[in-house]
Amino acid sequence: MKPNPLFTRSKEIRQDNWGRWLCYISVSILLLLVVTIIYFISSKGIQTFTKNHVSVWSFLTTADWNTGSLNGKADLGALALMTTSFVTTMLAAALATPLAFVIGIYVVALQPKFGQKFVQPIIELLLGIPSVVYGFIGLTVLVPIIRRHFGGTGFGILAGALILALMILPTITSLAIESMRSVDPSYQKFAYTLGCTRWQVIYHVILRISAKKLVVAVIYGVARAFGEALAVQMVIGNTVQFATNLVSPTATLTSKLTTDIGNTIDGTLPNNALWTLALILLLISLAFNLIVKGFTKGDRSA
Amino acid sequence: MGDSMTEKIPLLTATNVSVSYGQRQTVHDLSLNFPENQITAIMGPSGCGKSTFLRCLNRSNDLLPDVHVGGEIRFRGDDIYQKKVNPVVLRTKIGMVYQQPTPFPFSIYDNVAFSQRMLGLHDRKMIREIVETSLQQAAIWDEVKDRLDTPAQALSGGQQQRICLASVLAAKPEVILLDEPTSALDPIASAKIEATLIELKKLYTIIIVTHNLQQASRISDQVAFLLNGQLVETGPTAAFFMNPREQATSDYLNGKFG
Repeated sequence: MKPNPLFTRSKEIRQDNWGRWLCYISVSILLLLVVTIIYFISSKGIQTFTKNHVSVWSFLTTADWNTGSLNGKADLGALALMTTSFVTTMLAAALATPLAFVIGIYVVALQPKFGQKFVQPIIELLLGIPSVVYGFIGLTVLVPIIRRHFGGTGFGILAGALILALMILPTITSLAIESMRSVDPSYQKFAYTLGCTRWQVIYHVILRISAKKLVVAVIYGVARAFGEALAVQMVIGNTVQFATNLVSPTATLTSKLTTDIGNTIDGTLPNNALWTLALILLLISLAFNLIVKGFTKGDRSA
Repeated sequence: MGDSMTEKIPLLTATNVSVSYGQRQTVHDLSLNFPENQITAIMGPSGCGKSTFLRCLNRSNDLLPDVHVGGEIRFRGDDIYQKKVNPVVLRTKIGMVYQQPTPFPFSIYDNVAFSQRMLGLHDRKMIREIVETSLQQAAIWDEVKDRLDTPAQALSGGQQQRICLASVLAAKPEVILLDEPTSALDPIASAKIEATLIELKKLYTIIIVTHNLQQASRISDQVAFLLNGQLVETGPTAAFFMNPREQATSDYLNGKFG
């Protein structure tokens, strides 16, 4: 008897099913990874409070960091670290953002041809430079210059912010270019017809329409600056204290982590304290993500 | 040719206009006059250069790279391509509505107020008046007067096109250029735009590019027929449709090409 063609299973159907399962598996692995990372860091990070009985309040509101003595007595306050992290990041963003936007305007609205051919590849090149190289440049070029002109040791928030600004400039710039380019060119055409000058088209049409996405671009830059460790560690000075000025040595959450993580023993208080710093970093980057989500919500063009 | 412009003085005149994009010439030696308070329809098959020619009339071609415009275009007697002309002011005098309605992603009010604000007007009362008049002239005031703060892009295609028309009118132009303004719209919305244009010609000089023959015959006073970048025939609308002088025109009117 001939088989009923309705009931045959073709190769194409099998391919379909196989493809679907491949996607399910990949997504599951991704979800599993995220959940385990969060679980791992959280479970390690809270041990400072559960096992070592440090109070959460004093951890977040005091500034002395001394994991030292053998009898287990320690002062653990992350406030100075957090403050330096925030100040350095904000300063970096304040320096990089105007420059990034102006470059974006140049590439999108003023010289699209030259911008696309030369400026954008240069920006992408900057994105690819490893952070240790930025740190090295900071250490050998920037720190001596700052020492000479602004005094102090040269290490500190100013050096950190300048290096971070350089590092997040390509991030903010390429996202800004993307946002401005996503503004429908027919709006520009129409605006010119209504008697706009070029500057008015840039400001009242391109920037106004892409404003939300530009804010998101800055937030991504800030998030990158906040999480950057190596380059900052090389120029910040690595002393846990409030910076008295922009050129006094201090430390950020990330620089403290990179400096100390090799010198502690798993399961001890100094080690746990570093995990707590990692947890704080994780929570802050989650917060950045939520802010971005909140900003892009309800934005049809995003 | 000259019979259409005997009664009225042309507001806008094009003499021997040629346009080329890089190496390719798309408009050849075109001369055409646009009498005041009349609707001129520019017709022709796709790619005949009619939109390109239209864009020369308010110098929107300046915005495209590698465009060269030859010949002479005069607005109220002044050559609009001479150096001392301010193209920004010129474009407020000669406004343009495009094929695709492209209101900005702002509120209806902000869309219509846009041009006056760009011109530096900040008096709220005056802006409000201009917005209202413009929306009334574009025959959409009654439909939107209760929701001026809602996004213009939430409106239907035909309504969006009339918002664009209102935005152009708010700049207080003398000439309105329309580049196939109804080809993206349904017949009812198109009919409303046509009725609006007939009403508007009392106040403005209108030049419309269309490949819709019925539309041209319904609303225009004068027709120009373009083929391969050249002017084939021009004349008063009735004569043009009843007794075309050129073989190419009658072929086009009979649907033999286009």
